[in-house]
Amino acid sequence: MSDSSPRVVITGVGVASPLGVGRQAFAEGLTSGRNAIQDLDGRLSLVGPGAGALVDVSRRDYRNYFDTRLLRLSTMTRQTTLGCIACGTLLEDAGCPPNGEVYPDRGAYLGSFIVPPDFAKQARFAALMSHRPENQERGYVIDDSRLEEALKVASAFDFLRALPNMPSAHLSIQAGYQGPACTYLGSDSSGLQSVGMAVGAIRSGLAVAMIAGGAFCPFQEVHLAWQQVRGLWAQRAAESSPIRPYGLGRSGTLPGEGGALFLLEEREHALSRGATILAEVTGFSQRFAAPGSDDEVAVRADALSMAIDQERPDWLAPSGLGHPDLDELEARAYEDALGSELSSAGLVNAVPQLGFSGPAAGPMQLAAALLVARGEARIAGLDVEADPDCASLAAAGGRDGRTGAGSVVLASSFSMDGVHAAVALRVEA
Amino acid sequence: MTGSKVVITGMGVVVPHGDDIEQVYQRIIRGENECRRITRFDASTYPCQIGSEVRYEVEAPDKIGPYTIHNEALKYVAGATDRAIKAAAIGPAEGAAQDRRAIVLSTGVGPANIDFLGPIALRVHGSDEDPYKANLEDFYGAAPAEPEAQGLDEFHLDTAAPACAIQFGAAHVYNTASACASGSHAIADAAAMIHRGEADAVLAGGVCTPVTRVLVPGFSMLQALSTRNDDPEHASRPFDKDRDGFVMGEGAAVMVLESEEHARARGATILAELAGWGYSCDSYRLTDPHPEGIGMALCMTRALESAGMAPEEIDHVNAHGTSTAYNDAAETLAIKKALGEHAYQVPVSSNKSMFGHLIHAAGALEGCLSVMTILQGVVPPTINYQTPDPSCDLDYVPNVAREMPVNAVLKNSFGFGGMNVSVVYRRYEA
Repeated sequence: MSDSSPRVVITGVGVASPLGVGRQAFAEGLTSGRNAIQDLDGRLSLVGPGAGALVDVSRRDYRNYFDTRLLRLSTMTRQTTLGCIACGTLLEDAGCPPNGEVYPDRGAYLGSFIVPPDFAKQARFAALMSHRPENQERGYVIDDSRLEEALKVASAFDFLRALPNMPSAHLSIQAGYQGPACTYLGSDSSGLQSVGMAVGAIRSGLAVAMIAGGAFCPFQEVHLAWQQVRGLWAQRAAESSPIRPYGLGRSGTLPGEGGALFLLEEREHALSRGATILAEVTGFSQRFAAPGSDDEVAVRADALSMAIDQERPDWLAPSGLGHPDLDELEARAYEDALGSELSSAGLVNAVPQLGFSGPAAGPMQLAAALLVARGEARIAGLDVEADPDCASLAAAGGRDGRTGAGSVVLASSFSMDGVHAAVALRVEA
Repeated sequence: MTGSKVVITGMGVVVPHGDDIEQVYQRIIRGENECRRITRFDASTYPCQIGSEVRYEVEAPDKIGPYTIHNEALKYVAGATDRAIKAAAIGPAEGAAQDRRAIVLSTGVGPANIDFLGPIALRVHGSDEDPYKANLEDFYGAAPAEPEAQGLDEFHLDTAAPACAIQFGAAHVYNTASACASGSHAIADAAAMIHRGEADAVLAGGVCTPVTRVLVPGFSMLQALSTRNDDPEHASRPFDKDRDGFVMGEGAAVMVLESEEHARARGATILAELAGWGYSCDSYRLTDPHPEGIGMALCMTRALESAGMAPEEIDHVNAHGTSTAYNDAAETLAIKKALGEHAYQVPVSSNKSMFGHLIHAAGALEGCLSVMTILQGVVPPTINYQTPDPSCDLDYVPNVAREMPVNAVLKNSFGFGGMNVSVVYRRYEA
């Protein structure tokens, strides 16, 4: 990033999390140490880990966060809804709630992931279109002539709301923003990617302010089952602390849903409207290496080094999933990138409290770390017996970093899919 | 703009008209149509029975790194990438050089295919009495034995962009989703990265395989598709008074973008300049464009401003031109707002009249054709233009291509959700 480009600051944080909705409730939830992981019921209990963290907002309260006449619930997936709830709290927090005006120079980027909603309906549609021939134990036949019958279980909104750009389209309409809009997809790092792309958009003059972050709901049967087979979920979901980042005997993570968004602004724009500046975005980096390649650690370390540049991080907010292999790769990357500086930084890891929310997890961790670094929240240390292979990050979990103005946060999303992103912030007074 | 000039040095396509961009362009300027009755499945009972399909064998690698190229979308985009890299004569970067390369791809719609939902559904619906009798984990354990289920990872994971990153030797991977604007969005994002100095070379574009049992009826329910089933070759008729919706098309298109310095330093042949780009969102409704074309006009104006060009310098508008009633009227209005009086002088044509709407790949393919238009000096026609519509009163290059010097093309792409991107392609001058 060249020095002549505008500086980009954060002027608002919006959160829809299992620990609470809104910046203050989220901070209080973090500080309380409350664990939002609960047993799942219904059809979600039949697949995957059987436990996870849900956002507790009743349908009738949605109107507290967005205009349900403008944004009809029938056009929304759960992740779009979570994004809109987070956006409602964001715009309030940033002091610019929707007012019916449109803003041509503001935009919205969101990291999300394609998980078609309402699998039960999709499966029913597919089942109505298919049959297994008599005397055949395996396989199926699709019968196109049954389409009319199958379509009786579907509506146009089923297709509209599943379009992958819908989350960011909703945010733009909600906020009245007419600048760039896009949903970034493809990996669990796309939430932090959207933050980086939004910084780029502001720095290159495409917008003066951008909503950016992630929103995701993993609670769909096929998605849970698929991640189970990939080995992402913890094997002992019934235990009181099943997610054990960097600990011996860790077996994986648990799903959580949520949305975490930031209002990024050109510094001069923020100052001119009298906004409170929470932090400045000082670095962003993104790297890819195919899973299983030789340079998996090096690529992760590069992402961290490029984002943090010459700064010394006070708080680290890594993925911290509690996954046997990913935690080790992560710890080695942090050691390679930060060396001795790792020994003075504190760790923020909210994943044991609120689960892993895929592309929203990076922004959620970044939000948690920002609040901790600002002194608005505290976070409990890791309750694990450290794995010697992850000792550096485990040790950071028992330490407080510097807080207040000038403290530096380094957050990262390292995905199983090989796409890695990191963001660095410097806290303002 | 003050950063590096962004140039195009290679293009690759796998689309209904063929897998060689020069030949595709020649067919396009002859007005040849690839919209026909769907052959992928028996669509005879479907509300829309028309599609623009890739009806030839596509040459593509079977495996790229850890990624198996097991479905049509991956095959198309891997094939297009291979062709673009060869055309640009730019081998895959290695080591630290990968850090200066990126992939920006639009891939969003391909996975929604009932063909691999079927096996899951049969297991989930073990019986009417107990629809969740079957265990999905068991299914996943058995999935490799189900040839129809090979696309299951694609249901969750987008491996197209990572696979292309290996082909190109790129250390950065982004996936854009702005609906039908996504292909142009990927190209604009790529240009912006180069312009900001974040990359020297970016492979950008899109892939889409929407001619499926789920998406064809789905878009029909949104009343977006033509139902002119008894006359498929005349179904896609942008700007014509009797238009009744678009035709789904499939394929992939990508281009290699580089900073001018990088391209010249390696002695690359520069095809054209990507001179400017603009984004906007209508912030109006999810399915309808703003009736006054406000968002569309805004992004065209922004693209012109970023290129530092006046409306009069645009020689041709490659329209989004979907053939839906709302889009074509709103786009016409928006072109008039953005270009003023020049809107009545400039030829506007819609390539979709010949291959339908490639959704996430549309902007990328039409961008490649815009570059070809600059190179060859022949503006493609809008075919099936028979009856003028009073709400569409520009020069749509009806039915016959037009030879003329073309220095700059304004390419429009607009998507559901009101997401808009415009890109200016310009003749390259050193």
